[in-house]
Amino acid sequence: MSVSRVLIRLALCAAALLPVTASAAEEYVYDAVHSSVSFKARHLDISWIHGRFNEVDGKFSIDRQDPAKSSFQLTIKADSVDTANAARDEHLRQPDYFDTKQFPTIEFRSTKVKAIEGGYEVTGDFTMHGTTRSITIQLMGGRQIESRGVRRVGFSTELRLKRSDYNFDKNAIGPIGDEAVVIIDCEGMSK
Amino acid sequence: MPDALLCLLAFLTAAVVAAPGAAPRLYPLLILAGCVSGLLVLQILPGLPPVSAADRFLYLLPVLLLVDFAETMLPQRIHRLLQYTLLLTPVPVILYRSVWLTQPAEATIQGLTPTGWLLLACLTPLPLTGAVLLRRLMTISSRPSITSALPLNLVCCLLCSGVVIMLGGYLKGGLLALPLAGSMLPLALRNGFGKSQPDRPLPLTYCWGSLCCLLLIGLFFGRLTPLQCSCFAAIPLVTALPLPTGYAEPCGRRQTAIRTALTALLCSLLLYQAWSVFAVRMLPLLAVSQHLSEQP
Repeated sequence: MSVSRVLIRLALCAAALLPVTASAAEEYVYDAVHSSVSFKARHLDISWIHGRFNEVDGKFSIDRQDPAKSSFQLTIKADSVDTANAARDEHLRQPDYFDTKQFPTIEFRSTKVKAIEGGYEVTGDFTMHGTTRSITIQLMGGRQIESRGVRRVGFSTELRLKRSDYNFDKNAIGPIGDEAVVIIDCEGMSK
Repeated sequence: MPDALLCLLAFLTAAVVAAPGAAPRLYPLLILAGCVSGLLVLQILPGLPPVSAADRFLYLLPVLLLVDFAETMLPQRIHRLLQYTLLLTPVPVILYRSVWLTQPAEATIQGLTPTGWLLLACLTPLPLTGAVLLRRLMTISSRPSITSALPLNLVCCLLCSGVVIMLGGYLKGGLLALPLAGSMLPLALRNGFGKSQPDRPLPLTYCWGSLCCLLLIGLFFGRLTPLQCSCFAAIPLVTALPLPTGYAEPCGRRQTAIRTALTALLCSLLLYQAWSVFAVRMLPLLAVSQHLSEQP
């Protein structure tokens, strides 16, 4: 058998295996209806102010055989901040806080995924207010179900961020605490 | 709201440091030193890289002053060319990589949307047009009272626009006006009410460029309305208009006082309007915060 024939057969075998490899990763898009990205920050160090972002987009790819090949992306529209007070929301959009005209989105892009008990440990680049830092989150959940013909998967996580780490105006860190707790509960729908 | 005492201290520090010294040719350096001192009092330092509009504006300031500094060293034509070229930069510098130029993301050319290009094309010549108009007014009238009153009018507009930006909720943006206005004040007072004719050229690029930048920041990143922005830009031009012929001009200082008072009056109208909006929108929020902070 000539070398070229061997090569052709090998290529055909590889091509036949390729769809199987690709289908190992499940692709999901962020379901805005059944998900939420909310946050809370200390006010005068006596209570918590709660808020949420109403416009979020994202996608995840989950490879259950090889979790390292999984990926998670989340894009939050900073302008959609909602603390149930229109005047405060308007203030938060201004450059003393989110500066949404300069930094319209808050983003997370995973760079490393590891399976842990009950979920995944995801390391990624978190970009907020023009500053990108590497963070690690414990993404709990990942159970997959099928509902009305749509495959769904859910995750939850909670992370603590310091505004001062993200170049927020230090003078604006006064009555509102430096640390904010971000709570992400998201559901993905198969594409 | 920021500490009023700290604001006053920043303004006065800038004014004291920028007080004209013995060497008239070095006055732009004093102005810059005054401005930097005021910013330090307020603990405002430009970030590196300058990602926000305010940071980019702060880095533009020394360049604006440098052109004024070069006025006595360069031939007039070259200086004007430099000055006018520099006055074309505030809009692209302030709006750089902001949503005004980059979104929506569809169909971009060099990263900018068609709307962004249009906005740039329409707004970029405005600071230059204002400066040309001011200089033209000064040349046509050739009355020292206009040249004398202009820096004071610009200081007044800067201060008031800063307060209006703060009342709109953008504290850092508004605070920038204090060291800027403070650093211009000694020269403005000397020009306006000094016993002799001004011995230093008016730093038009710095004064006018700073006002334009601050207004752009307030308009595009704060809550300064287009009407407020236009008024603050127009007031120094309007109050620099030559008075009707026949009006007696016995004393340059009296004219300066009249023009400055007129500027202050127009600015206070804008301040009152901004305060009315602030009282309705923001004051309730602050009142709640104040109440909580007073609890034992």
